Amino acid sequence: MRRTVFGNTSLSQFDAIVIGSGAGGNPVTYVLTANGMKVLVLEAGPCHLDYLDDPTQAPVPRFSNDELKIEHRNFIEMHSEVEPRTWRNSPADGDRIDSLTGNVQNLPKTVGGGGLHADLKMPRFQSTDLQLGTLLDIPGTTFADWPVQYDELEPFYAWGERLCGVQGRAGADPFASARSSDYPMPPGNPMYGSMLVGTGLSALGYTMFPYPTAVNSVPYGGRPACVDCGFCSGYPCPTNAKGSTAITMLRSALLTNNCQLRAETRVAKLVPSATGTAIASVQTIEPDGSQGSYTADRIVLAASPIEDARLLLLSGGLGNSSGLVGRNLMFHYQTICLGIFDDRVHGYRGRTVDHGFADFRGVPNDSNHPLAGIVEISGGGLPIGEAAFYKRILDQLGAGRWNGALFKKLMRQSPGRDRVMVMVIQAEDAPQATNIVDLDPSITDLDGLPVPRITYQNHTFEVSAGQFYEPKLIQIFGAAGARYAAIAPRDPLPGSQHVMGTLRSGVDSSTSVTDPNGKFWDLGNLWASDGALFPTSSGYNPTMTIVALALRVGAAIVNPTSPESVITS
Amino acid sequence: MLAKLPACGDNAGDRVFTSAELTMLYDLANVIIPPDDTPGGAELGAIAFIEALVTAYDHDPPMIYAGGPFSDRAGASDDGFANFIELDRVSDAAWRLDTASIKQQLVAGLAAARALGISDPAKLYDALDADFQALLFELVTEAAWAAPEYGGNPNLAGWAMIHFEGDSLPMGYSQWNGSGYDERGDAPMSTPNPSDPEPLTDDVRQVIMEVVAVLGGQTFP
Repeated sequence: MRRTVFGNTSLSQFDAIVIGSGAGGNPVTYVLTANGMKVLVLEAGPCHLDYLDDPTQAPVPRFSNDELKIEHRNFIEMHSEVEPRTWRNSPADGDRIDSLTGNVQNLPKTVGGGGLHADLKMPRFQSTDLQLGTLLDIPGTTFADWPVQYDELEPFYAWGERLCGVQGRAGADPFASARSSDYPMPPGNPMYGSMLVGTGLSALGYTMFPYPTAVNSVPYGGRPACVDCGFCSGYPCPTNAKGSTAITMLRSALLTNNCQLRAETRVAKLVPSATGTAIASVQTIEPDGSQGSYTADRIVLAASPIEDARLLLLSGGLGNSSGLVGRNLMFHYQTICLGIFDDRVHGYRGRTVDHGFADFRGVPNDSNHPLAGIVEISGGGLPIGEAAFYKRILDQLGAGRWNGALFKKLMRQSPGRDRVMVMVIQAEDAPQATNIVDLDPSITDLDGLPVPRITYQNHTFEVSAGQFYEPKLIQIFGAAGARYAAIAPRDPLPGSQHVMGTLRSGVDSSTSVTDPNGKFWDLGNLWASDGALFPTSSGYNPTMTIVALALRVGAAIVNPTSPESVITS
Repeated sequence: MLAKLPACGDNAGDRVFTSAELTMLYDLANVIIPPDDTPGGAELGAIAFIEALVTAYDHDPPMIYAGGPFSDRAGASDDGFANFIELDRVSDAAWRLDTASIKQQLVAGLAAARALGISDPAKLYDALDADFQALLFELVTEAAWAAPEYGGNPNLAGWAMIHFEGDSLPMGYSQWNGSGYDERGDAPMSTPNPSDPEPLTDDVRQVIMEVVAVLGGQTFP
């Protein structure tokens, strides 16, 4: 029988409810329970980590090296058939673009959240990334300074790196901001393909470095070293070698006896108090579809930026005196370059991304180095996706180009998997007030609730930066010995699953939704603690900063005047 | 033709499709992945895989998600993949819709294909409705290259054909030994392969160069 309640199942009164068990929620749960608070975690998705709350044995994941299950049958991700989202580029498109309705930036909905599916690339942001409101003045954008600067965040970055277990080498990235300590683990075994790309980077004067990832290069935290199984990016870890916040922080919280986790329990509405200045209760849809209700002194919203905004709107537009709930939605703007080598580089063996470089992050207001982002060096995909890729390109080459014999040759010779390396820029996406999440006016989900609608289009800021660096990516592959290189075409929807903004934090209640500690200006007992708080997106993978910020939100709940005093070694 | 149906999966072909439909599916699978000195799409288990999917709810739990964390193919003693996973309320609702829809699309698509009256399987495939053609391609390639617990890829023939090791845990490709990493001689991670079982041929290079040209990329000397 599938379990849905974990931890201390006898708890019935709570100091806090945390909505969401991903990278934004689990750090808060960890901090609060470690400081004696009773916490109820409500997670809409199922738990696929058996024994997560068992102190006598390690969690046993239901995850596996199974491409069909994870990538094509949405084992951990939302099911767009019954939980669609809708999309339009602007109101000029009407209520939505019908062909783009369905799978719109679906993130995992499971205990562990989006952090599970990633290969847990965990670089920090640069200090100047948090100051772009001051540094940039670009029409049509809403760049803003972060209310928490790098120096305040640094101890929480270090804490999060210790808790998750991040491998890396201090000083290897010449563009990284100052660290108070080295990474908890050295870099792991390098992949052959990334070493090849490294020769090209070195020849052109760029600096490749081991990618900071929350993947055990050696045994750490009672978890084994990664064996580089190859099913990493997009795949939750079957061996617990990846230090997701679920098997690190949430598990620790469950073992304190101060935590109860309710999986498959979806929050449908936040009910305000009679005065409207606080959240009185949380209404849920239980695992069997019935309705439930929970109360606590504090509520923490960490369901991901799109679902956070949706829930507030479903609750009557709570917390929105600024008018900014749902606005300034951001994704990283990806530029993807494929390099195909004559020889097999077997990029599918390993951690997907083990190296990167930051020379294309750029410098504010420097037209010779426009702001873009860190570049991930990765291998290709897996066979079922490879097959779809070949069909797509043969179809696009024109009628009559498809034939089964040629398709079979492509699969066997594998230019798109076994001989390919990929570079991906995760570029800064300019915040815009017109990029928003609201409720679709007519489409509902299986529970009859309006689905989130995304209205979004790119700004020339990120588009022109991507165009600037495209030829440089191709040049790198040439210097690395690739035979062929090209920029991948962009899909109508953003390729990035890095979702940020919608509840931006700030120091002024008229221009932000929450205060610097993630507490809503309008509601005395409601916090947010995930990527929704980001005023800007930076050009680095967001998970490490989500974790650091969420640890700080939790610490500020425990000690509002001195959150750093809550940090433990 | 039915005599050639592969003997993989129990009762393959008995429950969902007529003999004529099975014959058509068999032939179309072999258009997508033609047999040569290696198996074609039919022999790689397309029919058993499709049968397993559209009858997934004949089993409890439904045969949608194979279990974990390991199969018994890379160092584990038991095949955890064989234990399918119980679905939660939302996944169950989605998959009941999906499996019914796929079955309906297959039945309707095969009927429409039969109505075309084209006997040559390759010409028939080219004439299929684009959505049905896409569905068939998806199912046939999933059968060939998914884990065998889903009904296809018999004896791992699909993975062998494309020189892919398949699921690799708990062994993986690189094991920490206390001071460094041990790798597999047959499948190294940090060094080149010992040999290339199937180098690029001119016709495959031609496809790559065309794609690169369309994308405005570069071919290096």
